[in-house]
Amino acid sequence: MSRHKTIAEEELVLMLRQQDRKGFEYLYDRYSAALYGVVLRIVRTEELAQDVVQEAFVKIWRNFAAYEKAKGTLFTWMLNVARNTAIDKIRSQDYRQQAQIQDVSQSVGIIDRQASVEMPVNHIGFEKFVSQLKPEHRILVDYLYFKGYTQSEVSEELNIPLGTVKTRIKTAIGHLREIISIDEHTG
Amino acid sequence: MDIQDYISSGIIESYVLDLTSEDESREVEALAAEHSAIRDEIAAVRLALEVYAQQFAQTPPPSLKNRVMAALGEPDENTQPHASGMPQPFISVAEGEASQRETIALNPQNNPPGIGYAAPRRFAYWSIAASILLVASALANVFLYNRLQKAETSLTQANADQLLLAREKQALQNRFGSVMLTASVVSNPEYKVVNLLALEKGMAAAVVLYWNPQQGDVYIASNKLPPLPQGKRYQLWAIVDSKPVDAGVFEPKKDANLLAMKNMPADAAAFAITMEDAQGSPTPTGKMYVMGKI
Repeated sequence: MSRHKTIAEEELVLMLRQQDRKGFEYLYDRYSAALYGVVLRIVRTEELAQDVVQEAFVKIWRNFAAYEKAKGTLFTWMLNVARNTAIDKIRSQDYRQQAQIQDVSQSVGIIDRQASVEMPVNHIGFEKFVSQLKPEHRILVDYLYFKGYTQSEVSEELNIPLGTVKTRIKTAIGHLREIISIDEHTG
Repeated sequence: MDIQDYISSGIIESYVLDLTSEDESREVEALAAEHSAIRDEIAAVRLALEVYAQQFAQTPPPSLKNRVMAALGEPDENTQPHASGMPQPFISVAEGEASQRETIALNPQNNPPGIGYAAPRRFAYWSIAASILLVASALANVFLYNRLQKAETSLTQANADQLLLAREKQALQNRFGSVMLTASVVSNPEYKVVNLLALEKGMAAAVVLYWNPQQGDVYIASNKLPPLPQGKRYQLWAIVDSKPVDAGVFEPKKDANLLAMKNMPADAAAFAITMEDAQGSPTPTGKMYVMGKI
């Protein structure tokens, strides 16, 4: 799966630089499920998640020139766009509903509350794969990678020392890499 | 700077997660440009996170794609040649095109030379037909894509199951190997059983050795010894010509497997165990716990 991805990515980037709609459709087909899944972990409802994904894809299309290959893969960049759109959405929605200004630190709590409803995931392999990761590692990756927390926010939120957060990131990703390399070797 | 130390510091993970300061990021990027090991590490961390993110993938409803494509707006002028070569599968675009052409047709002075009145209508039919075909094909694609995703998921699952079985099999093989060793030692008449008994009355210490005087092999079969303090180990000695010979350092084992020690010659007269520093000692210096004569 990953091998096929790296080959086609260069070409895809080229097509998108030229604002090629076929390229964009391909991009959508290949990444919409992944982005939708991540956005669903941040916002509360499927309806809102669809709005966010639509907005994110439009941003990706319009601002494609901003994508720098040297700074990361296409997917990581798209994930950042989708994630930031989702976080913005939640913040603005909250402004509307409560008609009062929240500061950034409060918004972090809002994101957490909104995402606390776990979305059902319909993959068969999902449980097996994700459950190989320890819960404390899973939650860390969730906060830092999907929800865009800073290390000190995570430290406060989960009540663990900053130093522990830093070492735990390393261990968590190490485990992830093991799980994945095992997958590749047997596959 | 040692690149391996740098990699194992955890900064790469933080960098990929976008947690580093601007200065740190610049440093990582500069080093990455210089060292392929860092580039590889960055790529590996990214891949791991991407694969992880994919685990949460959920296919959005097919209608979302139409919404997204419609929200992109009209294609730019410079992509027109390409776009007309491959018509878009969206009725909205096709309709837009048709109505645009009708407007053109109503203003004959705008008509490009060579295109008659009949052309736009025929073109509209074709574009509607083509659009329908493309929508059908897009639906088929969605269907096949979902099927493919399901197949990939089951494959991942099957791989994980297979891996689990392989691990269990390996563990069983290891246990079976040690059971077979025990059986072959215990049932081999060449082995002598040496009982090492406590030297102090009332001390709960007893060790059973299997020793093959012909081959020299020595195994500890069971060991009851007081717990070791930090930094200490037990050391087995064979008494050969009235002198102690080092037979190896060990920590008391907790399972039933045999513990292999150093080979001892046929003229050993006794075995004894003392407590020594963790790295062992050339001659016994610590307290002797158990001893057994042959």
